[in-house]
Amino acid sequence: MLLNPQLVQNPFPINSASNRIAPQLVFEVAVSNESMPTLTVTDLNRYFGPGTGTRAWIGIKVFKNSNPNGTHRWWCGWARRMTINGQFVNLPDMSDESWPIVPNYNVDFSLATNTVFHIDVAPLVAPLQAPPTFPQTLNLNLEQIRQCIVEVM
Amino acid sequence: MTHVNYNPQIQNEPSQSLPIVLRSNSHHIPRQLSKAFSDASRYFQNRNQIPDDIIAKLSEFIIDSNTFHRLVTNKESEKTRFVYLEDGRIRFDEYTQPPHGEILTEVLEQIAAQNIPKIFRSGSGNGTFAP
Repeated sequence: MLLNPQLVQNPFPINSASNRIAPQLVFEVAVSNESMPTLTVTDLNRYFGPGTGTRAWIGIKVFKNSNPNGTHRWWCGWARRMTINGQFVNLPDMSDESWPIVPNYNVDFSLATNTVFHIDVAPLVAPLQAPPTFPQTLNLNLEQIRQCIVEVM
Repeated sequence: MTHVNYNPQIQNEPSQSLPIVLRSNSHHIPRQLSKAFSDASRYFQNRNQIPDDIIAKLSEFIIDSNTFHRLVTNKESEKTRFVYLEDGRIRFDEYTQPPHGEILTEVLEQIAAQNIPKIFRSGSGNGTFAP
């Protein structure tokens, strides 16, 4: 463990409101409120804005059809904090594993998916290092999520 | 880890004029208050933004908890559970709809299963998921 993160590159920002380390991995679910532009542009940029400690963001948007027999759809994505010359900057870098952002006809919720997000652990804990036995990525299996919630849709 | 973005759907702005303060011994609920609350509730329950003029009318009143409970007769119903009293003023907060909580729980469980040894801890709101 490094004793003084403030002396090294990419220290952990401190949340001035709580005096605690700002969150590294944040997760936003939008069902009926945030639109896609709000979720993937406005909110996303805020999560990675100045003073935040976000290293990775996961976003899931569910489009519930008000018609019981209608098609529910969803979108899933994740982003990392952009780095330039090894230095974190206040911008998101959407992962290629994210689903395409489209104006309509997002993924049908009834369809199985094989998407698994692989969120790198090293940037989450930098400038520290995870224990050697710790996985290099945190994996998020979207099919497990789909199966878990399809019953309540 | 979890940061559930809980942006208030409605920002109640204080009225420019002096508020009307109602105390619990005043059994009468002014018609203006009950109408403003009813109007605001109708928009809120339909998940529409409450017009500013209705918010302004509501903000003219500062009420106590007894008056609030008389207005919101069934606090536990799905339609009223995100209506609350803050510093004497009625607030309408965001509706979270299923499967909001179900997704949250599943993501937490998946990450927790990989968090061995435990180097991350979860939080909500201003919480942390920090090494």
